[in-house]
Amino acid sequence: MGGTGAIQIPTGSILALGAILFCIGLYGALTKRNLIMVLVSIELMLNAANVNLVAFSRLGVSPNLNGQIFSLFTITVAAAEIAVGLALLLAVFRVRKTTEVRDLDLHRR
Amino acid sequence: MPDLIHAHYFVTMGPLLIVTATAFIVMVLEFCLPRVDARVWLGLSILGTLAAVVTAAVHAGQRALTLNSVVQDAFSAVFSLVILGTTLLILWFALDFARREPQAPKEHPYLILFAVAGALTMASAVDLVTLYVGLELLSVASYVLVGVRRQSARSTEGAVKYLLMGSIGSAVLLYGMSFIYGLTGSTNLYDLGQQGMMLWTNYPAVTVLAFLLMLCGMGFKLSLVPFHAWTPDTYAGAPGPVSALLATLSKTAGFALLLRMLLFIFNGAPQVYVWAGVISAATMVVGNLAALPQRHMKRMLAFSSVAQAGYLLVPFALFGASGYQDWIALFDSLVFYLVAYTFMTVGAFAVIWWVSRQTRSFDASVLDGLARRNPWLAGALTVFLLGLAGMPLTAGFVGKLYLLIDTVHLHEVWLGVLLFLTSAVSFYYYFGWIRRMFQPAVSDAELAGTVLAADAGVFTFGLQFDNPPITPHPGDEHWQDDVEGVRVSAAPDETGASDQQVGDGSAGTDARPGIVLQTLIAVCVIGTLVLGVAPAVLLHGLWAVGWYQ
Repeated sequence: MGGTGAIQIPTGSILALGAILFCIGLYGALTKRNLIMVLVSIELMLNAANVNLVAFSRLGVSPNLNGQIFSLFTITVAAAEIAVGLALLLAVFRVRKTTEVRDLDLHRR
Repeated sequence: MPDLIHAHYFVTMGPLLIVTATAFIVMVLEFCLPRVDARVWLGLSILGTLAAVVTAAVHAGQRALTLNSVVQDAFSAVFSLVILGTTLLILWFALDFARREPQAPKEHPYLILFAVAGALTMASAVDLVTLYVGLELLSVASYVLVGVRRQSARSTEGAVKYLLMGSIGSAVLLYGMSFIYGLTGSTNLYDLGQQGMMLWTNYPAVTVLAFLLMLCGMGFKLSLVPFHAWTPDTYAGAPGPVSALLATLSKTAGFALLLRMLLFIFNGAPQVYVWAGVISAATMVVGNLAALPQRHMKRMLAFSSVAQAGYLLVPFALFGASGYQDWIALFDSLVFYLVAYTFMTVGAFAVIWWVSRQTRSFDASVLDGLARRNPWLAGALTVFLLGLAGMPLTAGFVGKLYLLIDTVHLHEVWLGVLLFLTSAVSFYYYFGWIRRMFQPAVSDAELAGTVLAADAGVFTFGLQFDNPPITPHPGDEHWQDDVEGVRVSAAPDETGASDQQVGDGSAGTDARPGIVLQTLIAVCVIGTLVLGVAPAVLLHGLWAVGWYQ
């Protein structure tokens, strides 16, 4: 258990942190009514995966740097995704004057 | 032999480099020369894609590994060629789209090419990081492609739904990947393949969890049930060529990624594949039943593509139960069905786009009497629909037959039976369209009455999880979905019905499709029929590839 540094943190705690973050994100993404909050929740889910990757990179079965490299790529990709998300949000707001998820029901009328 | 050190870069990534270079060239030129017609850029894109096809075909027999992350093997060669062929069809479709809609977004050509670059990466990468980046490149380009018509409320709404569901999917997929990395300490698929057995014997619970997370994450992207909710809205909101791209190209790439990832990582854990069977069964049943009450043509095609994704997932359920020698048959049937599905779906989207543009409506009632107005178009659509339903003499039948034989051969007969039964259900809605096209003219109200009654009869057992049938009022038309230049007034509660179109007047005057669209439809018809009558054309090619060499 624990890392090699001065402070020993059990692996399980970090994985639990990741799992909790992921669950909060998933719950938020599925229930929040504001589009910006949904995007934030998706960021939480991605960060949960990053926490896992970095934790495993240090404390995994065979520690190496791959996980940290992976999380760097993830952060970059997530930034691109959120940029497109915010741009679309702006486009929706200009056309519809709303950012509520439940107002996006044109296709169901 | 000029540059031996870098030769393998071009063998493994040749098509990818050519497509990416073309995308950048087109993007910069389009930016510098805004007055040039969009068709020029589409033509340039088609030339670049043709060069990529030639490169991929020339290198198909070679084997190389670059930087331990991109590989040229039989798998990537076959899927790259399928992806590039689909790209040609879609760019060809976009060419006619740009001609008919002068205000079509000029960003289409290079966004499509960037999406293709992502798809090619997904087909040829052997590292989780590279696969993930390729998937996201395809996804982000697709989000923009759907939403690039900023003035259209339907487009942006479909794009936002796609983006939210797609991002949740990639987060779930990534969370699953992180567990695989944690248990093995590697992101390379070859290393992971070596440790497959260890994974299952030491950590069975986490392995199942990771498998489920990765399958569900890809389920969002491939619109598998229960993650398919975005599909009809996004397909209906996107312009015609983009809907075709989402339905064919991104599914081909997604299945390629899923196949390579699952086979390498979980080859030592045959028990987990039963979950793929469960999701496949759910997708076949729900997709087909949800398509039944649809009256909006694109929404029906969307649900039909959900159902087809269920058929395509059938081989995934069989990998666990079979040995390496049986996998060849599974690869063959998967690729065959993907190619058949691509021809039929692109063709159907092209015909639907043309008809709805002529009549300015996406309601299925515009198909009434199409056989009289335009017999060739009606005949082509009939071929595509028969193929999607799985009638003999079309590619869809042969593809489904191989899937059925696989299920029987590998003792998963329940999936085969379900495939057969759900296909029988699908005949109802496909033949509904064919009946509409070939029946003599009936008054609209009378027709609507009968169809709605039929829907009500079928749907008394509560399967109305999607919208009720669109009432056949010609006033509430959605034809603007495919017309750029739509202005939506900015009032908060405006609907798409209040979109005012500008600059039409030419629409509806030209009754015959142009030569470009005719060629596209003819190619799709020929593909559907040739693969149905003589499937050996493709199967011999796949046999010659030799999956394990």
